[in-house]
Amino acid sequence: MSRIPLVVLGGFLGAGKTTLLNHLLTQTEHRRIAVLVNDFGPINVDAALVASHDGETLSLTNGCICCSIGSGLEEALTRVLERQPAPELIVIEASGVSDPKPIAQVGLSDPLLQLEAVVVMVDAAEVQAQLDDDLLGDTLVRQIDAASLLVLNKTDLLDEAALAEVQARLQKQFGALPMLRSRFAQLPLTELMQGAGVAHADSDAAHVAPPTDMGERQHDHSHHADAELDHPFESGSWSSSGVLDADRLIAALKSLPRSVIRAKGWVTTDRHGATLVHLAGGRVRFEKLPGTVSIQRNELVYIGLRGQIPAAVVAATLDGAHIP
Amino acid sequence: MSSQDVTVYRAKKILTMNPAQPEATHVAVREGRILAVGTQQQAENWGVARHDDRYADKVLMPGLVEGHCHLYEGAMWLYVYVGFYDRRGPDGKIHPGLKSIDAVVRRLQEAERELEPGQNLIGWGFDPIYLGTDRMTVKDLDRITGDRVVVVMHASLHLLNANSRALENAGIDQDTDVEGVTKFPDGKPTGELCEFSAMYPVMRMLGGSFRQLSHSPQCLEMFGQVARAAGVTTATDLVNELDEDNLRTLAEVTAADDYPLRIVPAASAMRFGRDTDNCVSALENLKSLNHDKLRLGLVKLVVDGSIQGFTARVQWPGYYNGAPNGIWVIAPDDLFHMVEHYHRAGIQMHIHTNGNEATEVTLDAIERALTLHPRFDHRHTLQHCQMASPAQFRRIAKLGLCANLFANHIFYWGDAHVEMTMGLDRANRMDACGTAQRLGVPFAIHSDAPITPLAPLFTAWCAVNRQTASGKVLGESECISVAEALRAITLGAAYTLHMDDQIGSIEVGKWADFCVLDQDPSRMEPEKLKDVTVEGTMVGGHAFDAPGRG
Repeated sequence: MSRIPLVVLGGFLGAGKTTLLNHLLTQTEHRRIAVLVNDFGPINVDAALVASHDGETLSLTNGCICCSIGSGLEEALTRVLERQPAPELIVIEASGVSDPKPIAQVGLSDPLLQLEAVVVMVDAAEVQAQLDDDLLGDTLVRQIDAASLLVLNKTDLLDEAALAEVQARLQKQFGALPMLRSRFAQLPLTELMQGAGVAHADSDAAHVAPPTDMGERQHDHSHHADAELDHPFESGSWSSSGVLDADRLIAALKSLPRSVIRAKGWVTTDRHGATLVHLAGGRVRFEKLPGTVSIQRNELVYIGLRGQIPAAVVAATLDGAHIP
Repeated sequence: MSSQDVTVYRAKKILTMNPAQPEATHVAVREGRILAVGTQQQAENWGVARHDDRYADKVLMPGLVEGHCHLYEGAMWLYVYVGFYDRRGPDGKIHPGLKSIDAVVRRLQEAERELEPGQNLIGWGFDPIYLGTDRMTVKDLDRITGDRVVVVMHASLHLLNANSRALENAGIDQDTDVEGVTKFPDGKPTGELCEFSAMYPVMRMLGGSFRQLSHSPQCLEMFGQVARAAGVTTATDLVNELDEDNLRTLAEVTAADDYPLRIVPAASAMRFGRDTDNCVSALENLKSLNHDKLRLGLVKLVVDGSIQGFTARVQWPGYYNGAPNGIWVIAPDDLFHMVEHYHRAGIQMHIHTNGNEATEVTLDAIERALTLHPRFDHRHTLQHCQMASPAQFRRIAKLGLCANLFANHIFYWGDAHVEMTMGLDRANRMDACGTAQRLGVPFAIHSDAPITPLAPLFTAWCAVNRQTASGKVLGESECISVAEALRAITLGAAYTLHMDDQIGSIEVGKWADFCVLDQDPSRMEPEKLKDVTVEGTMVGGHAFDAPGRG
């Protein structure tokens, strides 16, 4: 059974998480997205879209559902995982004061889930003051540190000079983390998902085919999409032959530049044999392939913000995964 | 028995907790309420009465009131108790504390033999803090025969230990790169899993949820039995999700004459976030379920985490071991909003603040709400309030707040607070009942069961003696007298629930809720207070033997 992709959405109160979730729930077509929110209050869905509402779950006519976390993420997540048919994407909204990182890791521990990204939103106009606040500063730092993608929202409230100042401050404090600007929480989350998840739209079987097919698949998915330039993401790939050293592969993936938001590979390692490998939220995970499968060539695809991935550094780093 | 019938109970002694009439020998009961209390003649003034001498050689106190515990204490007893200290179960028996990992394994092995094929073996109450440097691993749990999933929940419920079968079924192995999955030096998981993401795959596999289980008639029954064994006649459920079906079951079970407990749930404010109106209207509707033994109306807010988990929000100089500051569960800005709105709606709030930074922000929020919307006798209560400074207690007093202090912490985690979390200075003033008493803050003391055992007389012992598990006395000047502690577990707790007009003392007009003891706790050596035996209870005129004694 293929794992359900998971995105965790963090960010302080007022950063625009709910607006983003409203977009996601209502502007998605033909995807069963399950969104777990802290409370329904601010979720504002056109009544015509609501198929049913049983107090804990809001079902939409487009197949999406919105579930209340209430006071228990564990129960809410279990309810969602038990749904038939299974959701195609799960988005967990971390509460405004929580650290999204420990929540996101459930997408690395549970066999039914695969973490794709930790998206953290900040209010461009407020983030500096929040970072300097005695009571909130440490909470903000933890949230931003957890981000695989930081969204600087409400950029309409600032002029370019002020925005540049905010970005400089964030870069100084947090290093080169992938940062996107947005207004009114308009964010190409679906594109990010398609790029990051690379495989999820297809069956995994497609990826254990000979490498020529993989090249085509990759071409179809990423370069083609890149050419349209309608979203800010860019993907790249790395391939090699031979058996990789599992521990070196893990170390190499974890030392990739932070601009790599997500990576996924079909590789053979000394410890796993033919296996899928994921990098998400800065952590590495393997996913067993059926025993009959063999992989001809190690193939890894990754995604980041356009123009921000140093391909040579990525390649050099991943080359270190070989058995010396 | 007609409702007009009067029963006069004679006791060796009655400690009324009413300072105007501290002691008595007879109490007359009609329609479940106290009709008269005092001498035999006083009790017989109402005319023909049935005389009942069952308590002739016992001491009666008002039924004890547990102001901070959770219904899921009842659900825990579905599993095997493997804690370090003795604990009384719903059967009334002492489940002996297990002093080593080997002893835990042996206890689980015994329990394994009782299980049906395919059933999971689950232990609870484990706490390695008392076992020195020993940590439980798969090597220990894999010694248990039977090829089952074996899971041991820690006392805090923030950790568990799993056996190899459980890890395998949950998909946790050497490659699981998640914080909280503890590994051996060779990279294999030890089976100790900490916090949500590490625990979730195992918990999901076990199925069920404490919230649902806790409201099952079986678990409510066990909760009632544990309370009854401890002399408790009113207990809180201090975070209830307000699931209507669950509350209907609760209303039904508690309404029965043979259910030995009044239950006071507090609605989870976290479930409603800033949408306080929604919570208030849900409570208004659900209050139709209220009866003499079920009382919905309180709202619970949780501001921060726990001190021993390093998740409490603490002020300068922070954690003694240098751990980073803890977490907000409700953001300060939301707290201001929620406190103002619940306060204005006339709701009584019970607010969890463990660290002194959380306490400070809460005091600011309440001060603001009171300035905007003055309100007498609100009795908002700070729950735990473990690190409050004398200055904060002065604010608590000035703002008309109550404090429910976590006295049991001194015994169970006092040593850890000295060595790891707070250091000696602040550990000495934790759970400062003495300061609360001196400053006139209305206060109660609590167990937070199932986190620590539901046993108010033990909690009173903790507040009186302030002795840690290793035998140290923490902050002698914060010790309170036996009389003050007995008041805290009766009238003190009743006051924090706004129920001091109905329970908490033996006075005319109040419910005939009693705790039956073999000795007079007010005359005992303070260090023996925890050893007094609870013989039974009476709730609304219905007598109950302590479980295992009847």
